[in-house]
Amino acid sequence: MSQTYINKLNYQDFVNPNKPNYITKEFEKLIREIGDCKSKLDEDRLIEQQIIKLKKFTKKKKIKPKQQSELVLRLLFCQLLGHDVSFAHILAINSSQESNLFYKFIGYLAASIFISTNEDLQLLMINSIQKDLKSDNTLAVSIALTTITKIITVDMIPAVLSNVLILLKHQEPLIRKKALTAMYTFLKQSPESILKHQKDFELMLDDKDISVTGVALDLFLFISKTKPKTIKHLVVSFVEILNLIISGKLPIEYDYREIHAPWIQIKLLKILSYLGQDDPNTSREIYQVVQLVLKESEIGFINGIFAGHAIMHECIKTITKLYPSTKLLELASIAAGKFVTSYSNNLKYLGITALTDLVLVYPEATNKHQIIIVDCLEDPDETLKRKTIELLFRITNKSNISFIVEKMLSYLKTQKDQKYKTSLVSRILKLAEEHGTNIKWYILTINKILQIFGDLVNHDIVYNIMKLISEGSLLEDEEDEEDEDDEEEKESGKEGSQLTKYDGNTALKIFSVNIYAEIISLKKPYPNILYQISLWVAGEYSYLCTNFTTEEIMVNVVDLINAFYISDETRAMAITALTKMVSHSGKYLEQIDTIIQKYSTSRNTDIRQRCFEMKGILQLPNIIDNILPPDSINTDIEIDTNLEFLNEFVENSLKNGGKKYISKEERIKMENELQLGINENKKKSKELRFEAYQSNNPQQSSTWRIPQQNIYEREVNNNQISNTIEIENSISLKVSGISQRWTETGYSGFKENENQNIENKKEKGEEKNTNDNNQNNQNNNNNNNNNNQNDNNDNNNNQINQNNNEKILDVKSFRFNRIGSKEPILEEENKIQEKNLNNDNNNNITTIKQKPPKTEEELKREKTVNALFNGVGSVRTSRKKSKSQKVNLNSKHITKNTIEKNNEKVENLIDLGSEKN
Amino acid sequence: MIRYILVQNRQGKTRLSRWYFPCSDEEKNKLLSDFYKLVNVRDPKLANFIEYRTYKIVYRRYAGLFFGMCVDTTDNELAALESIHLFVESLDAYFGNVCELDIVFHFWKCYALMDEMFLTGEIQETSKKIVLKRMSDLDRLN
Repeated sequence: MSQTYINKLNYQDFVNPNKPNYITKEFEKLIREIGDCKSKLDEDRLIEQQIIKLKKFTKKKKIKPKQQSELVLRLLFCQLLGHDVSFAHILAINSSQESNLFYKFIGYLAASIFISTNEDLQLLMINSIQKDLKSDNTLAVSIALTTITKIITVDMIPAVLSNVLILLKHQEPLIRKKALTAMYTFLKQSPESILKHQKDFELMLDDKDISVTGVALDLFLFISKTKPKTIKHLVVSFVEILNLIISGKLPIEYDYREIHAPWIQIKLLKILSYLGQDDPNTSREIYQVVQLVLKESEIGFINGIFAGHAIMHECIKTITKLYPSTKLLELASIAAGKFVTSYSNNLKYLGITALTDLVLVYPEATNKHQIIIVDCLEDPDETLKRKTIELLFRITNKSNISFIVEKMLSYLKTQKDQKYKTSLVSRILKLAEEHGTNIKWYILTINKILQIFGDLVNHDIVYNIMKLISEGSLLEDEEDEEDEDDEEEKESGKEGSQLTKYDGNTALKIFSVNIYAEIISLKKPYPNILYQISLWVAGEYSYLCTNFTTEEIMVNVVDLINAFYISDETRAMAITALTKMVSHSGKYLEQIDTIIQKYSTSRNTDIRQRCFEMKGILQLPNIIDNILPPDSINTDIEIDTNLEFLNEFVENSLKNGGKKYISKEERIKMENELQLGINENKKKSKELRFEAYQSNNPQQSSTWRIPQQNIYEREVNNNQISNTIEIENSISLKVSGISQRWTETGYSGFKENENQNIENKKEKGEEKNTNDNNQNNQNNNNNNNNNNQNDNNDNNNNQINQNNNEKILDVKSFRFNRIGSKEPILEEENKIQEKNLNNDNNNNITTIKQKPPKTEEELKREKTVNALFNGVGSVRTSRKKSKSQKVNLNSKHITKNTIEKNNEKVENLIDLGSEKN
Repeated sequence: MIRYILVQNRQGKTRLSRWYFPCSDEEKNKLLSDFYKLVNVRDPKLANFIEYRTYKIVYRRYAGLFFGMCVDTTDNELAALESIHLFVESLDAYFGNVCELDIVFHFWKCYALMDEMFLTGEIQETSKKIVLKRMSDLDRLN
């Protein structure tokens, strides 16, 4: 090729005297014009004009073959310049069907370039290809075979396979070669169907023509990658061919720069490496020949011929893949050393690549070249540097970690690719974590990384560091031995004497707090992540700091809080750190007031929250140590999961009539049963309900079942129980009263109901009297315990105490206060009870009658509830209901009598209901 | 395996391009412009290899033209580089002191020559003599 660089291509005068071009003057003129175009716009304009012309031609019915091939070439030219010419692809196919070989050749050539973008046209080609494969003219066959390799798809393989197989035995090496290439194309597309013909390829290995063998090797390379076991028996043949090549028995035309057929050697070495992989026996067969090839290729190395280097490089790769042989690995590492120390960047790159693989099987390989490898990082070539970084990651160990990390960081600073940088930073951090022997070195290194690349670091590192400093590390023991070698340690040698006074863990804390306090004092716009670590360490261990006093650190932190370059998150951490320092040292700065004042109104809620916390904590000097004890991170908080200290309290409350705790599981179970009961009941017909109440079992009565609904109530006072019973009764009575209104038979049953009500009231009155003593005592207790009760309630209580017959309001108000929230329902109940009380005061017996009227819906609900109490015995009702029906299982006041009375009432109700239905 | 072979001049005009894997026109344009961006800025002293996506680009500059090849990472880079050189040598022998304009005017012959040497992404013929003989056979057709 001409070595003179043509600055401006002279299109107008260009003629190659050696090669006549077969294109017309017009086409030549177009090429020249396009060549002289000064902008892409001009060029596009010209091509578009050309395409319009071409379109006119394609519409013509008859085009002369010569003109057609010319048009095809123009299309090809337009396509090359990036224009869509799919409208005229058919011209190429037509041209390929010409009898003239030249036009056919042009047609096929253009079709093979066009067609990858147009699938339909492939099928149009298949006919002419089939015809040409059978042609006597070798040139036609060869052109057709070449086209097959480019346009064939899986569906088309059967159409041409038989023809191609015949052509494998063609007398012309050119045809054999191309037929084999076609087979290779088939093999890549559908391996299963082609592997049946493996015997045919095997024969081709012994072909007289080495270029045919070369193509056969492509097929075997493909098979060796996917199914190496099927061609292990051919290892001998491959070794033989390789021996033949290096002994120089091939025709001289296959020599390339004094190297015998380098590409074929490389193919053979590749196949052998796949076959010998993880296979000691096969590898042993290969060792010798690889060694020979390696030795031969060294001659090329001396003469500076790249082809020789290529083979040598391939040898190293092969040795790395084969079952390890120490002798060969040693030779390979020497060879790789030659690459690395070479003058050329290409060879250096290959050397580094080879070593990257080699160190995995032979770690000693890089020992001699470490300095050279690291120097590659300073090379201006980015490709080389990236490869070197990869290698360095693999060869890093405990002895060279600090050196390598330093080099990597200086390389990192020169990087601009953000994505690559991020991945590299995280890898370096990982490397330091894996191989770092000295925890102090590790902390310093991390700080260095964070200072520069803090924004790229994953925030997990913050917690790692915090954990490391607070808990120390297992590496701590080794550290003492290495202290003398460690440069960092020498620099801060004055700490040595102090450090020995403490155990390793405390020494580490002193060390780190000194470092981080210094970072805070520098007041540089470092990344937030570094400040966050610093602030945490300073806050936690400020009292251990030897280089700064706590006041100094506090002043620095205050300055930092006011600095513009830190984020709100960091600022919040700084405020917490300040709080810790104040609490640990007991010293206070005036600036803190300003800080609290300033940031209590911050827009950031976290900062605000922390400010208030600090303010709050600082106002409690007596317990400040308990809130933030020093080194609290390592103090495990013991949690008594059994809450044994509450046992006494629980027993007491049980003694006082409190309910037993029912666990969540049991509660859920009970709820489910309850639900089930209701559902079943709903399903049940009237007859069943009738049966249920007929049994009239006091065990199933409301008073015994209700507690299940009130399981959340852990403590229920006896007063309350009596109260709820009261409500219970009143509800049932009321309901029965209402039922008269909307049942036709209601009036007939009215008097009965009324009589029952009166009876009931009498019963109740008696019952209350018997329990008066108990209730009184408890009421007194309640009043004493609840000093904070409001005046109204107190008044009420007094009223109640005066009026010994009625305790309802007292209980109600008591409950209301205990719960502490003015739930509307409770209030309502309260009012109701107050009214009752008033009524009672006036007329003890008529309480129920004078109750405010209920809405129809409520009444319906109540009715069902009561019916269900007796019918099935377990009810799930509305919230209001469940609240008003708080009855304890332990209640002793409910006599069998009352229960029976209740049942009777409900029976009546159901009777009425069923009659109505 | 060779993914594609490109010939571009220093202005970024593509003179030849051959694709050995199915690829849409948009993708091709992207690859072409990426090739130009990567290769054009590199100093001649640097290595002739660039890692690109999951492949490697091996390129070499001859006068005002960049000859490039994209190969698999397992392939031998130097062998690819030498095959580029063999291709250029063959062009030179065929045209007689080849220059960029030869490739522009005889672009279709360059494709033919490329087809003689590389097929299905592998180097098929490494003998310059045989390639030239095949080319003269084709010339004689007309």
